[in-house]
Order: sequence, then structure tokens, then C-alpha cells
Amino acid sequence: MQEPTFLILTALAAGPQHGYGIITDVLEISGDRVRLRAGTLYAALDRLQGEGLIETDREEVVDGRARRYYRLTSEGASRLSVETERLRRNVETAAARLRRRPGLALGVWSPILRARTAGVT
Amino acid sequence: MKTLEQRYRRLLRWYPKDHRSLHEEEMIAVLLAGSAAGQRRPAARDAFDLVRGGLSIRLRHAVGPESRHLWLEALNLAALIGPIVLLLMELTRATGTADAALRGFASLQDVLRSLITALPYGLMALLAWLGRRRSAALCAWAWVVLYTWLALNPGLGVLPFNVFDGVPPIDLLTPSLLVLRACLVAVTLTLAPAPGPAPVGTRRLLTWTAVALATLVASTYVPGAGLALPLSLLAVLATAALRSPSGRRAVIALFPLVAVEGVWGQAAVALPVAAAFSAAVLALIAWLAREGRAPSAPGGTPG
Repeated sequence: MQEPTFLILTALAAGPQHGYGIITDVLEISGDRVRLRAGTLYAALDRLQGEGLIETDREEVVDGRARRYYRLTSEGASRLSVETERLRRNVETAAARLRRRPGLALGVWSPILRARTAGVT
Repeated sequence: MKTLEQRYRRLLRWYPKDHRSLHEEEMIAVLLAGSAAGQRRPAARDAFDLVRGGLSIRLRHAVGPESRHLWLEALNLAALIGPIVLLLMELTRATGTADAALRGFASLQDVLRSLITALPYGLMALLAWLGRRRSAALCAWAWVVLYTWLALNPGLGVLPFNVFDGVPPIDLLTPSLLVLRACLVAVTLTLAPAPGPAPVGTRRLLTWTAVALATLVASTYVPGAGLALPLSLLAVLATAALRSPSGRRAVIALFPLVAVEGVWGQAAVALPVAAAFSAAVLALIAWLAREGRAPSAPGGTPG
């Protein structure tokens, strides 16, 4: 699963969101690192709907424009869960191996890895 | 002067129509919400991203799982239309021979011999139309073998390019190209799980077949018409087919057959290229049509 897809599913895991809401949420989740553009977002939403991972929740009209909310399906939640577990195992393995390397355990990466492994375990 | 919104709408034309009807307004809202105050033109990266997104959705709808049933319909339709096309061409040729016989330039035997190459395609089309797919495919392969044998034995004088003694065969009628043409029909009938007129309808297909035969025969009698009438008919049929998703795909499935007839038939050296291209196109379509059923995309109809 590519990172934008993972982040979109993560954004929707908290609850239904509209397009611009997903963009701002993904920006926040990724620490201002991933800024989705409309073309990328809607191509991903189209694909994820086709794969049955997300679906339309509801539509609203705001300022005369349609605003469609998307939500995670149970299949989408399951895929996100599997992917999260896979990433967690990778992070744990990388952290454990880096800890065993002399000189790196106290290096620049160690606080970050420690924080991440603490967060996912 | 165009506004930023109008410029975004223009870029959204890259998206499929059904996607636009569902998502255009919300995409515009997202784009405007993300634009800077006073911005008058889309940023280059946004414009590129929108075009790329539109093309990616088009491609996914065209070849994705939700379009498999359309490829299957197209393959089934092409398997029926293929032998009909060749039947019409052979009947047109037989009409020309009959006309020559009436003028005393050919014998009744020549007319009967020219019909030999038409009858197998008629049988294939009939079997396919009746849903006898295996029999149609068997008939097609048997004809390929027989045709190859007849082509390798020109002394028998059965094939049309041997009908008129003293007239050298033209490139269009080289035996290898005719065998390739028969092969294409046999391969399509083998790959199609249920050949039939489904998306077009029996009545409409019969009407078009009659119109096509009349046009082809008329083209041999109208002075100076040449290829104008058949090409006009082809253009009308292609325009009608391109208006439906399965029709567009059927045009792609039939393209090798038409290309062998009209484009590459002029140069024997192009035979391996034509054979490889045709094999690639048919293999790709068979792969795209695999299973033929998939959950439909909520995003809209495949293009």
C-alpha cells in the first residue's frame, strides 16, 4: 500500500470526511510532509471506491456546492489494520536492529525510533 | 477574462464525463479552498496533477476490473462480426465473378469456386449466432487448415486468386494474408466464451449486415466509387460503435482484421508485423476480459 493511500484510509478511520477535510487531515497526520493535491486525491478516492475500501457517506450542499463525505468500509478498515500491523512489525525490527548497532543507539535516530516503537506497542 | 474557477473547470475536462458529473463541484470546491487569495491561474503543479489524475481514472476505468464485462461483450461481439465481415467480402467477390460470368468473361464453375471461400464464413457466423461456440471455433480452425492446404496447392485452382487465368494475384490477395485473416477469425472464436450480438441486438446486426452487403456490392458497380462507398460505410459503423463502451472495445478487437484487409495487405513484408500485432491485441483483450465479472465501481461507468 502506497503512503498516500495509507494516509487517506487513516484519515477516514476517525470518521467520515469530505475531500478538503481529508487533505488537511493527511497534512496533519504526516506532520506537514504529505500535501495531497486534488488530482491525486480524487484518483485515489476513485480507486479506493472501486476496490470497496471506502464509500460515500452523505452529501451536503455548502455555499451552493455539493460536498460529499467519504467513510471507511469494513473491508477498508480491515486492510488498514493489516497494513498497520505490517508496518509496526517492520518498525520494531528496524528499531531492534539499530539498537544493537554500536554507536548508533545513542545517535540521532534513537529518540525518534524509541518514540515510534513506544507509540505502536 | 476567465476566472480561476473557469480555468479549473477546463482542466477537469480531462476527467471522464460520469466522474465529472459526480465529483466536479466538490473538486472545484477543494481546488478553490486550497488556492491562495487573489490567485488567478492554477499552479503548474496543480494543473499537472489534475491532468495526471484524469488520465489515471480514464485508464483505470478502461482496463480495470469493472470494465471486464465490457471487454467480454466486445470479444463476443467481435467473434460474431469477424466471420460476417469476411463473408460479406467473399460474397462481394463472388458477385463480381457472377457479373463477369453474365458478361461471358467467366464460367458458372468460376462462380461456384468463388463461393467456396464464402460458405465457411457463413457457417461460422451461423453457428456463432446460434450459440454453438465450440462448433464455430472447430469450423474456423478446420477452414484455416483447409485454406492453408489450398494456398499451398495453387494448381487446384480453387482459391479466388486462381479463378481468372492469366491475371496475376495482387498483394491484397496473397495467400498468406488470407490465411492470417482466417486465423484471426478462428482465434477470436476460440477466445470468446459466448459469441453473439448481445450489445447490438440481432435485429440491428441483421440490418447493418444487409446494408453492408448492399454497399459493398454497389461499390463494384458504381463507376468511380472505388473504395469511397466501403470506407464511408466503415466510418458510419465506427462512429456508431464508438458511442458505446462495449462498441469502442469491439472496434479494437476487430481492428487487426480490418488492418490486415485494408492497410497491410499492400505489402507482404508487413505480414509478420501484422501477425504479431494481431496476436498482441487479441491476447490483451482476452486478458482484459478474463472472468468478465467484477464489482461495479461506485465512481461511475467505465469509459
